[in-house]
Amino acid sequence: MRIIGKHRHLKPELFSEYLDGRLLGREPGRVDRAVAECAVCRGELESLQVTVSLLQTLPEFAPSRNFTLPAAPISSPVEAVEPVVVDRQPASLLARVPTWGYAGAVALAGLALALLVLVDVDGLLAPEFAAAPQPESAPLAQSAPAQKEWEEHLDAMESMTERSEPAMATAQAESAAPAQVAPLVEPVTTAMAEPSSVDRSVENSVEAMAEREVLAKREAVVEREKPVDLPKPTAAPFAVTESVEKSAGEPYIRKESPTVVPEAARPVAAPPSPGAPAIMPMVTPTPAPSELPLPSPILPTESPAPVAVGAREPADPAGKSSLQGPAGDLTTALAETPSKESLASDVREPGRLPSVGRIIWWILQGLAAVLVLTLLIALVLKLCRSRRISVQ
Amino acid sequence: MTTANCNANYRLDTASPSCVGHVTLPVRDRAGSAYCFNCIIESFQAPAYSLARRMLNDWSLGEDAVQESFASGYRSFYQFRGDNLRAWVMRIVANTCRDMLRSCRARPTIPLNPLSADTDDPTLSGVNRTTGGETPEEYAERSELRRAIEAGLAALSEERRLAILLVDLQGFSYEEAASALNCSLGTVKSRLSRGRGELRDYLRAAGGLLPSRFRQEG
Repeated sequence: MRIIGKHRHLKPELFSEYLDGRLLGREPGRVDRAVAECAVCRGELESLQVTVSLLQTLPEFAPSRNFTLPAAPISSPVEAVEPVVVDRQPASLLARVPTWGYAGAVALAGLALALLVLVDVDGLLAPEFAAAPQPESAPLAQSAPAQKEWEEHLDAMESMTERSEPAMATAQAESAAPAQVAPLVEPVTTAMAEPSSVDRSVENSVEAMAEREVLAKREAVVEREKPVDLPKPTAAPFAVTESVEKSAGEPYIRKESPTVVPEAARPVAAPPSPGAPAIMPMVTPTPAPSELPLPSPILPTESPAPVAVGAREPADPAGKSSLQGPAGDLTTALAETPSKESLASDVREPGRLPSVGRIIWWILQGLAAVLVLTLLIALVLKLCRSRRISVQ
Repeated sequence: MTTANCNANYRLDTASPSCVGHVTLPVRDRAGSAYCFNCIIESFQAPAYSLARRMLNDWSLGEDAVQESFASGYRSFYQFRGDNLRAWVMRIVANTCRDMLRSCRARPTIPLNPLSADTDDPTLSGVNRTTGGETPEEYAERSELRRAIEAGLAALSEERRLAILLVDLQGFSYEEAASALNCSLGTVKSRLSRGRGELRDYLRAAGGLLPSRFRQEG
């Protein structure tokens, strides 16, 4: 190609394509003109032509062996001629979820249930919380008859306390000697066996306790509010209740604790009665004062609870009896035995009705249980299915 | 294993008798057409081995490459679209050669017999066979020319060598070469032109060894 007296050589690609006959249109004529007019372009084309001709002289190698296969390989696509119909239906949801998914869900559900139980143990969702948000004012205003009866009962107990103060001192002195535990506790049973030595109102309340339904309900309440590790029966109630008096300053506790003291101490002065042996085996020896359980710091905070549920007094002495031993249990049971009216009012008490928190608690418990059961069943089905597949 | 006969297009005719000379290996492409893979092997094993032998410069490696390529093609024949079987087979061979060259570069080996790699090459017997009426001088000249060209090819880069081998030796069109090399048509043109130019320069530098009729004037 000439441009103002100068020749611009063609690109080597044009010569290569020219040799292979790949040029179209005016390109072959352009190469022909360049080769005819330019010796360099002509030499370029000829050299490429010689090189290609040399390449084409190369013989083809023959392999030393035949590569044909004597038989189809094991993993051969022979099935392609007779294709195997593969079931491509989507797997069920149960089969698609991995096993660890079920296990994790079960673990989470169990953890949630455990957390719920823990929350309930802490009392956040306990019925007491929901029933008695205001510990002092609400119960007092709830049922006037029950409160009145409670006050009468407390007065009676106070009078008993005044009569048995010397015996309380004696009991404190003898509680340090473990060898004299039996005489110390035996009178308690004697006092229980002899109705004549107990207040009349207490006797009436014992009779009321005989009612089966009320008693069952009462025991359920006591069992639920009783600490896991009940202390051994001791004469310690004196010290414990006194410390409770000082720390809590609660009037109900202060009046109730003396009732505990005389019940345990009175028999020290009184001779044992014939009915004592029948109840004696139920009493365990009193440990030394050094082994007496100390009042826990939670006691002052728990002491208002009985007061709060004062109208339904059984819950209150139950928690207190856990710190007092058999004598305290006895006196507590005697003190907490309400009349029929108070029990009836207890049953009809609005605070005993299911609160919102308790309903939520029930719902959560039910949901957790259903979830755990469902996931467990699904996990079992999944494992059975996978085992069946692996066996096949 | 079915009995069938394969026609010129390597298609399997199930109504005809079985293949002659080899076991029928039926395979199906993506469209569902049936082929006899042993027929395909018999048709392409020589050009495949030539390509692999010149790409790897070792006859044993070349045979290994061909064996691996046919095995791979047999396993993946269902991916074949049915358009150009020769380009498809050579593409597999080229890819296998690339992989083997890469592994050879990663683990270079030194032959125990450094004098000549062709001394024990059984495939050279057909290449060095004397033709009728050929004098010993002509035979020596031809052998010298062949070794020079082989050396020039070995000096090229892999991709340019592949393009030259496919187009100039195997007779592939540009489109077939582009399909076999998995590249564009312009890339094939460029590789072919540059490869030819490099080989020309190599042969020009070794002009004294070439016969006078192939000797180029610089």
